[in-house]
Amino acid sequence: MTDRFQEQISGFVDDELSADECEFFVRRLQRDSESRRQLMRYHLIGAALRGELTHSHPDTLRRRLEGALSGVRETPSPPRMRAYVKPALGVAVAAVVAAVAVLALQVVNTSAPGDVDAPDAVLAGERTEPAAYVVPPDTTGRRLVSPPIQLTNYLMRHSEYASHLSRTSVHSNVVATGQPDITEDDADVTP
Amino acid sequence: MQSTERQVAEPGVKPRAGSGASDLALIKRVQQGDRSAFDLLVVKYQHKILNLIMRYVRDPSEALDVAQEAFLKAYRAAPAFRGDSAFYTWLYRIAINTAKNYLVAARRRPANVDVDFQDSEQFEAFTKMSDVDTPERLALTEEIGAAVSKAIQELPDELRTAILLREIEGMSYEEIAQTMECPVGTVRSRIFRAREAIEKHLRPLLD
Repeated sequence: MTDRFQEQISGFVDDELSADECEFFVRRLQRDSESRRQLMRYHLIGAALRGELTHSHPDTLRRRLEGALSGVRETPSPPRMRAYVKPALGVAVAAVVAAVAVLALQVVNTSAPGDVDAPDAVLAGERTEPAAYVVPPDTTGRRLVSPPIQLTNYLMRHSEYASHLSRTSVHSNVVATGQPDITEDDADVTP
Repeated sequence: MQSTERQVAEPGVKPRAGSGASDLALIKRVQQGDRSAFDLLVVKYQHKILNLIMRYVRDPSEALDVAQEAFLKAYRAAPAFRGDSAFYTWLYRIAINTAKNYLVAARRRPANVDVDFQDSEQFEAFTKMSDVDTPERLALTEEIGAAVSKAIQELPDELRTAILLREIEGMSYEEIAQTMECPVGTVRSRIFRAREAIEKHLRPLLD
């Protein structure tokens, strides 16, 4: 420890250091036990000169406090903050879950047959619609299926390839053959 | 935090010089969770606070309990300290209130209450307190006072004057420099050398 630094300890005791010097000095004290002991001795000298030493051991109070504080949490947090932490955490978790659910729904609804890159595009963030926390109700009465699939399904049900179980028109009944059924799920399968 | 003001003096004691920057730096560290910084504040003010409390609470061991409680309250309230007043002023108010509350509670307690040691925890706490302040430890305080007095008398005049103006009169370095008609740097050096010389007398007692 240099003389200059020891002189700074003396200056710190007398509160004669600048604010910047104090901050630097306090940070150093945290890891320099010898400087801390010297600081304590300087304070003791001042107390002795001013006649402040009481009948008890000069270090009794500090040692008792050290023991008492060892049972106290390291960082006493402001009491007002604690009341809001749990509810805020709960809301945050709920919001994340809702966002993930909405995102997943939108991925399913916007993907189309043959549009191989649609899911990737969504994941890459190329979607233009902003994410919503609540799925808006479908007021158009339209099925949540893309137009190409609708057309395909119509043709399948009304064309000569419609199965006898899904035929819904006279025309399909007339022109139907024994072709296998094609469902919406099959239309979603990418090649 | 706001800029500091000079510490408000307790009655009968000259105000200490300085900007309060050292206390502010320490309390800021305490607010960041550095308990060792609070330890240094205790070291700085423990004697002053204890003497203050002893004006209200005569019994030394009870005064020690009250002082401990006051510092614990200060530690718990540290996050709320905004720097509107000097740290010592804030601590002084906590100590006064703690001492007054203690006196109010003491008046409510029955006068003749026998200490019942059937509770083993109470007994242990009592014996522990006795162990801390043994006759040897109590004698140490007197030895320290005697060693410091002797060391002061052996100091050269300029060093003795500088340190007494600082510790007893509470003057700032600037004020001491004007009084002794020397530069501030010389004052700083003289006070430091005086402390070094006194510390040499104390080291055998403290090691």
